[in-house]
Amino acid sequence: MDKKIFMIIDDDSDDIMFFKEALKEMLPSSVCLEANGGIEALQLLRKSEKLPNFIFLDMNMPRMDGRQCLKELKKDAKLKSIPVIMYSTSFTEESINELHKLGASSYLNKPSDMNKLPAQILEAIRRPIQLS
Amino acid sequence: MAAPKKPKTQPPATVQNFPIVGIGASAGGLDAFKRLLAAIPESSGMAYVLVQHLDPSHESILPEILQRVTKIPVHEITEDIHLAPDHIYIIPSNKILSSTDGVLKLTPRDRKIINLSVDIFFTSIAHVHKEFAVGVVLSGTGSDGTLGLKAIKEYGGISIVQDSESAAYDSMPQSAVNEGVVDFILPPEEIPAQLLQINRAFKTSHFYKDEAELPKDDEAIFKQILLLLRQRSGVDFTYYKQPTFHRRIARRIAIAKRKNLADYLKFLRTDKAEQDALFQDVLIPVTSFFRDPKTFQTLCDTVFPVLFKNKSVDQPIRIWIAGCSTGEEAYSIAICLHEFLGEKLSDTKIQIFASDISEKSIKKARAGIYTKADVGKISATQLNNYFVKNNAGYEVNKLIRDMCVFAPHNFLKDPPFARIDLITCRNVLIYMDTFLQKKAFTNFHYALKENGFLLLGKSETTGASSDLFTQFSKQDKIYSRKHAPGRFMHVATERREESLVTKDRTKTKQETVHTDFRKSAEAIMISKSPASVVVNEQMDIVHIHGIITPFLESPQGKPTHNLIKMAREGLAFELRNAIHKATKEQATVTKENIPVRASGKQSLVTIEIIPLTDTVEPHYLIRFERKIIPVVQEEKKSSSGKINESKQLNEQLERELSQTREDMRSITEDMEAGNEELQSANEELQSSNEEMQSLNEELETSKEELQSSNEELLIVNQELLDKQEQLNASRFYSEAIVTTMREPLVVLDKSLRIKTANASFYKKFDVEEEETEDKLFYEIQNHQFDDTLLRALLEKVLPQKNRIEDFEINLRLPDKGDRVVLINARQVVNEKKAEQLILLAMEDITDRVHSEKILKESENRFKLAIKASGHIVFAQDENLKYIWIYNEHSDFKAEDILGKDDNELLEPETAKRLTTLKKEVLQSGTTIRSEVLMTINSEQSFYEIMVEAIKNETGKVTGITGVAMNITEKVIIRKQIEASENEQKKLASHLKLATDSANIGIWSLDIVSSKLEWSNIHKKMWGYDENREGLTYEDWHKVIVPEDKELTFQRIEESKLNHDIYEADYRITRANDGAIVWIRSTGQYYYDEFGVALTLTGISIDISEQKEAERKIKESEARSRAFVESNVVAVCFTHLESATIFEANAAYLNMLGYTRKDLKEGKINWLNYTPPEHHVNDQLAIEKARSMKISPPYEKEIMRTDGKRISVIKARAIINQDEIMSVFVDITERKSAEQKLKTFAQELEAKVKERTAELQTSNEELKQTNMQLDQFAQVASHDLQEPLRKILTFSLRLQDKHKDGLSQEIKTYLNKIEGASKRMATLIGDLLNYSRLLQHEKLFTQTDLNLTLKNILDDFELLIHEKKAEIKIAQLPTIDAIPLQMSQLFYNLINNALKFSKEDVPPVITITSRTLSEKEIQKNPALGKNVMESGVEPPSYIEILFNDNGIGFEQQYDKKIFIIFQRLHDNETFKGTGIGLALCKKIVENHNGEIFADAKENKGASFHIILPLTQPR
Repeated sequence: MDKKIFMIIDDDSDDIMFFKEALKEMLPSSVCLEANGGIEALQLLRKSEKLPNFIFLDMNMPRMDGRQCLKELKKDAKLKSIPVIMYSTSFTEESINELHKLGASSYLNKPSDMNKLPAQILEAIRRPIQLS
Repeated sequence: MAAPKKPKTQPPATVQNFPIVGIGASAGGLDAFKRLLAAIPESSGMAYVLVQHLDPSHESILPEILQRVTKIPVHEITEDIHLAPDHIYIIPSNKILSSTDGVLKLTPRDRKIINLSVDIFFTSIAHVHKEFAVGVVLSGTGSDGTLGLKAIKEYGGISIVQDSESAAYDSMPQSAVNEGVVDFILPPEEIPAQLLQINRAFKTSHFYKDEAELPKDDEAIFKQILLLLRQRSGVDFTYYKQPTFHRRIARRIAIAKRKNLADYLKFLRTDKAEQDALFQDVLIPVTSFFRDPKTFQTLCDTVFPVLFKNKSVDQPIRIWIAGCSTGEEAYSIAICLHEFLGEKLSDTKIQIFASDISEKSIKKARAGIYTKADVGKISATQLNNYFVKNNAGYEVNKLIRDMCVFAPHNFLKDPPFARIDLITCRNVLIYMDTFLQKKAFTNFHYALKENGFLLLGKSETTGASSDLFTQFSKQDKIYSRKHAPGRFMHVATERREESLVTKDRTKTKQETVHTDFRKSAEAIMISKSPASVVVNEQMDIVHIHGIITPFLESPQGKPTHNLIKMAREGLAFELRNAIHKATKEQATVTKENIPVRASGKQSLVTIEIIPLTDTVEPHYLIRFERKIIPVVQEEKKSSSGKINESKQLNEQLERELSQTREDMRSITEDMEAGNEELQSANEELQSSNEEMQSLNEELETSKEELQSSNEELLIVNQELLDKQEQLNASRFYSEAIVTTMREPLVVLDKSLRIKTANASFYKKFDVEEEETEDKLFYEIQNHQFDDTLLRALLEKVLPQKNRIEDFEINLRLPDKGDRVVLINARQVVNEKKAEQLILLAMEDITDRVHSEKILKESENRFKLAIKASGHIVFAQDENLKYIWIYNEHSDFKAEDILGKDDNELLEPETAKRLTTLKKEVLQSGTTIRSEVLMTINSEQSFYEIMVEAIKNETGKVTGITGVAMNITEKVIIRKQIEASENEQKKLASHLKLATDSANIGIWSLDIVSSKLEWSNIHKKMWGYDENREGLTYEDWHKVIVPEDKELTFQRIEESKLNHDIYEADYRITRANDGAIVWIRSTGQYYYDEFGVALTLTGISIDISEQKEAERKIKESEARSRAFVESNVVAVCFTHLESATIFEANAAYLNMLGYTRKDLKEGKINWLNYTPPEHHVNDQLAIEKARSMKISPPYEKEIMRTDGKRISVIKARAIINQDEIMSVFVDITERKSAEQKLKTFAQELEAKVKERTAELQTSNEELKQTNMQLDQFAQVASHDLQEPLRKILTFSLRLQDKHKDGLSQEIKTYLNKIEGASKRMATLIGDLLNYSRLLQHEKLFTQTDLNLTLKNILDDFELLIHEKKAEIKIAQLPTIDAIPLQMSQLFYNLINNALKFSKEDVPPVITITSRTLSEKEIQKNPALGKNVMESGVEPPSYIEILFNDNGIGFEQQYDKKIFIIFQRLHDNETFKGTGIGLALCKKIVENHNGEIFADAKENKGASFHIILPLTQPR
C-alpha cells in the first residue's frame, strides 16, 4: 500500500508541528510535506512528481492567504484534483459556503487545545462540506 | 377464374390429406371475409371454401372483391370442382354447395325453404373429409352454421367462430358458441394463424397415416391417457376403435397446441379441464331427432306391429336406447310410438329406458329442451303436438317426457336392463372394436326378450355375434334376437378394473397383453402335451387341442361345451375342484393319478390347470395326461385264495366307492343346477336393481321438477290472487259507476228478459226489482216498450252483432207523464260464459226535447225581430266564411253568400276593409264598431258595422257575428256639422298655442253651477292631472293658502259688484307637490241681459319667480346693510367721478380718523388719504372692477388723518356706473409680527446648520473609531488567540507528557496557566461575537424560534443531563430575525440559567411566549420607536420569557447585568466574561426589541425578551 502523503500549508511553524504530530499519530506511516505559505506551497507542488493525497491549508497567512492559495490550486489542472481541507480558528457559515464554491473539500476549526487536533482532522476528512 | 374443365364423368375420389376450411358468413360478412383472407399466407397447404348468404337475384362480384385482398387464386365455383390446397373457392349466388369425395357440387337453391347453406356445406365436408374438415363461422345473423360445426366436430374436425367483438352481427357465431361446438373463438385476422398451427399438428402427427401399428412408446403413452381418462370419468376406452380414438387425441393435441403425444400427456395430467374436454370429444354427443327417418318408418311399419301382436294386454312395452346421448333418439322413438299407437296409447304401458355414459348428456336429455336448430327436422305437426315453446326453446311435452326414463349407464360395464322388447344402439358400436362389440351384443342378447329387436346404426352389423341375432330388415339394420345360448358376462366389473390397473403398472414386465386367449394358450399347448382344452370362467370349452376323447365326451341330450358336463366319469369332481383352486390362487394346479374309466378302460389321469394370466378375460388351460393301468397285471395277482378274498373285498369296496361317487355326482349336479339358478336369479336381480336405480334417479329428478313446478304454481297462484283483487277492484269500480249513473241501464239476456238493472232504472220507471226480474223487457210498464221497431232492432242485436244507437221512443209514465227516452243497446261480450247479453242504456231526453222546442221558438222570434230592424245580421266562422245571414243586402241572396267570404262577394277595396276589421276581432276577441264605406255595385254607401267575437266555452274565438246598418244619410249630415266645427276648432287651437307658449292658464267659472273649466296649463299650475275633469270652484279655492283666501274671495266679490276686472295675487299650495306658488289671476265677468253674472273667465299666471326675485332683493339689501353697519370691517362708498366718499361706516371713519360730519360734508376724498405711489395701482383696480364688477383684494397703504401710515387689504365692488364700494381690513399689526418671525427663523436655520456640521464631523470620527474597533476585534480574535492557543497547548503537553516528572507546585502553576488561558480564549471569543454584532448587516429572515431553541438544547444536552436540569418549553412563534443571533441569544440565556443554578437544586428552566396586547406596547415607549419613525404601521410584539429557579440576583442590579464586563460574582464562584448578557441586549436591540430582567436573590430570575414579529424592510 502506498504511503499517504499530506501537505500542510501554514506560515506558523508551531501549527505545522501540531499538524505533523497529529497526522503521525493517526497514520504513523504517512509522509508530511510542509510549505511556509501559499507561494512556497504552489512552487513545491508544481515541481514535485508525487502529489499529496490531502492538503491542509491555513486560512490566515501573510502575502497569499488560504483563499487565494485555494483558488490557485484549483486553477492548476495538475493540482485541482487534490482534496484541500481548509482550517482556521473561526469559520462563519458564509465563509464555509464560499470555500465550498471555490472547491475546498472540507474545513476544520483549529481547537484551542491542539491536542484535540487528530479528532478534528478525522472529522474533517470524513465530512465534506455541505452547502447549507 | 374459370374452373378447370372436367370430364362429365364422376371425378374420382381423391385422398384428401390437407385441411378443407369451410368459411361461412351471411351477406354482411364481407368485411370479415376480407380480414380473414388478407391474413392467409400464400402457401398454407389448405383449401378454403367461402359460403355466403348471397342475394339470389344478383350476380356475385365477390371473387373480384376478394382477389384484391389476397394473392391466393380465388375461384368462383361454376361446376363440380376438385379442391386443391392454396386455393380459395367461392360459392356462387343462388346455389347450394355440397362436397362429395373431395368434389364440390353445386345444386340449385330451393327458394321455398330457408336455405342453411353453411350448414349444408359444413355437414357435407364433415362427412367426406372427417378430421380434415375445418368450419369457420363469421359474422352473420341467424343460427346457420351451428349444425354444420356440430357435424364437423362429430367427425373430428375443428370448429372456429369469429369473436363477437369484431363481428358486425354476432348471432351466427354466438349460436354456435351456445351450442358448445366451438373450439376457438377468434377475430378473423387471427384465424389463419390458428389454422396453420393446426395444420402443422396434422402434418407432424402420424395418426393420420393410417398405420395400424403404433410405435411402442406411443402405445405406452396412449395407455397412460386411457388410464387418466378412466380415472377421471370412470369409462374405459381401451377397446374403443383405436384409429378413431387416436384421431380424437390428435385433434386435441392440435387444439391444445402440444408438440407431440408425450407433451400432450404431460399437459393432460395437470389439466382437469382438458381431461373433460377429451372425454367429451371422444364421446361426441351427436345425435338428432329422427336420424335416418327411413329407419323410423320401418320401425313403425314392421317392428312395432310385431311387438304389439306378441304382447299381452297388461305387459308393458320396454325399449332401451343404449347410448342415447342428449335424448333426441329416445324422444324420437317415443314420438314414433305415440303416433303408431294413437288412441290405443292409454291401454299400453310404455317404458323407454335411455342410457348414456355421459352424465352431461343425460342431464340435457332429462331437461328435454332443444333449440330451434335441434328441432329443425321435426315436422310442424309433430312440433305442435309434442313440444311446448317457451323462453328456453322447445321443450318436450309431458306426454312424451313421461314415457322416457334417463339414466347414466355403461352398457358394457353396468348390469343391463332386462326383458326389453327393443334395443336401439345406433352409431355407438362403430367406436368399439370387435371385442367390445361382442360384449355389447352379448349384453343386448341377455337384455332382450325372446323375439326382441335390436336396432343398429347404418354402418353397424352384428357380424361379431351373428349367432345371437338374425337380421330382421336388411336395409335398416334391424335384428331379432336368436334363441341362442348366449350368456351375459360381467366383462368389466369393478374388480376387473382394479386388476387392470395393476396390470398397467406392471406393464413393462409383460411384453404383450393379448386380447385373445388363443395366442396365450397356444404358446403353452404347443410346448406341452397335445391333449388340452381352454375353458373360460363359465367352464365352457372355447378351444380344444389334441385328442381329448379319453377325458371328455359329449353328454347325452342337449349338446354342451361345459367342461364339467363333458368330463368323463370321475374327472368332473376333480376338475371342478382343481379349477376352483386355480382360480383362487391364480397359479397352476396339478392333480395326479385320478382314476378314470373310459370306454371300459381304467386309466390314471393327471390334470394340470394353468390360468392364462395374460389374457383380459380369465381363461384356463387344462392339460390332460393319461396312464393306462394294465388289467392283465391285476388278473395275474388273483391266483391265490387270499387274493380271491381280497378281490372280493376289493370288489365290495369298489362297489361302495362307486355308489358313493354316484351319490356325490348327483349331489354335485344338484348343486350345479342350483348354482346356475342362483346365478341367473342374481343376474336378474342385478338388472332389476339397475332398473330401480334408474327409476329412482328419474323419480328424484321428477321430484325436483315437481318442486319447481310447485314453486311456479305458488307464484302463479299469487299472481292470480293479485289479478282477482284487481278484478274485484275494477268490478266495484264499474258497479259504482253503474249504480250512480243517472241514466237507466238494463241488461237483457238472449230472450230479452231483464237480467239486471241499475237503481236509476227502477226509479225512473217506478218499478221494483222483483217485478222486473226475468220478465220480458216489453212486458214491463204495461208494454210501454213494446214498440215494433225497437223490438225488431233488439232482436237483431245478438245474432247480427248490431248496435242500437239513439233510438227515440215516447213513453207515458204514470207519474211523470209523457217522456221521450233515447235508447242505446249493444252486446255485452263475456268471454268466460257463453252467455250473450244486451246492455240497454236509456236516456230521458224529455227536457232536452222541450228546451229544444223553446229554443226554436225563440230563434224564430229573434229572426222576426231582425227582419223588422232591417239591419243585416250575419255570422262567420273562423275562416270568415258566412255561416248565416239575415236581411241580406238587396243585391245578394242568402244562399249565394253562405259558405263564402267577403273577398268572394265584394269589391276588393271593400272586402279588404271588412276583412281587416273582422280579422282584428278574431284575433283580439273584442267588439269593434266601425263605419265602413262600402261600394256595392258601384254605389257607395256608409255602413255602421258592429262585429263581435263568438267564443266557445273555453274562451277561444271560433267566429264572429255582426250587424251592419246603412247610415249613409246620417253620415252626410254629420260631415256638414263637422266642417263648421273644424273652423271653430282652428281658432281655439291658435289661442291655445298662444296661451300655452306664454304658460298662461285659462279658466272659466260658471257662477250658477260653480263648475270650473280649466285649460291644461291651468291644471298643471295647480298641480292637478291634465286628465282630471269636473273641477269646481272648490278645487280652485281649497289650495289657496289660508292667509290669502279672504283676499281672493273679497276681490271676486268686488269685481262682480263693480263690474270691473278681477285681479288678485295669491299663493296656492300646489296639489301634487305641496310647493307654494304665487299666482296672479285676472278675470272678467260676463253678464246676461238682465245683468246677472253668468261666468267669470280669465287667466292665471305663475308669478312665483317674480315674487321670489322681489323677496331676494329685499333680503340682500337687509344683509348688506347689516354687514356695513356691523363695523367689523371698514366699508365706504365712493363716487367715482369725484372720488369723494359719500357713505361709510363707523369702522372706516375710525380707521382713517374722520368724523361723520366730514363725510356728510363731502370732505373725504380717497385721493387724499392714499399715498401717491399707490394711485396707479388703485386706478388699475378700479378699471378691473368696472369690467369684472369686482376687483380682487390687494394690499396697500393709506394715510390716517394723523399722518400715520397703515397697511390694509382692500377690495372693491362696483355698485353702478358711478358708485363703487370699497372694503378695508387693517393688517398693520400682522405685518409687523410676520417680520419678527422671519428674522427668528433665519437665525434658527443658521444655528442648525452649524450644529449639523459639528455632528457630521463627530459622526465621521465615531465611524472611524468604530472601524478601528472592529479591526481591533478582528486582530484580537485571530492574533490574540494564536499565542494563547499555543500557551494552552504547550501547558497541556507539559502536564500530559511530564505528568510524573513535575513537582506539585509546577503542576499548580500549569493548572493556573491553563485556567487563565482558557478564560482568555473565552473572553476573546465572546468579544469577537460582540464586535460582530456591532458591525452586522441586518439580514432578517423568517425564523422558527422552536427550531432555534431545539438546536441550542442539543448543544446543551450533556450539561442538562449532568445537572439533571428540566427544561419546559412552550410553543414559540416564527418571527423576522437573524437566525445566528437568535441562537446566540438563547444560548447565552440558557447557559446563564444553567450556570447560575443553586448547588443542590436541579435547575428548572421554563421558556414561554405570548403576544403583547396593544396597551402594553403603548405603555412601553421604547417599543416600535424606530418603526413608528419609518411611518410603517407598528408591528405585533411577542414576549419570550426565560424563567429559572437559580440563584437570581438583587433587583437593584437589573440594569447593571446588561452592561458589558459587569459581573456580579467573582471568577471563582461563577466563571464568566461579563459579556453574555451585554451580547443579549445588543442582539435584542438589533431586532428593535427590548430585554429586561426581574429577580430576587435566591428566588430565580426571569428574563423578558420583547421582539417584534416583523421587521421593517
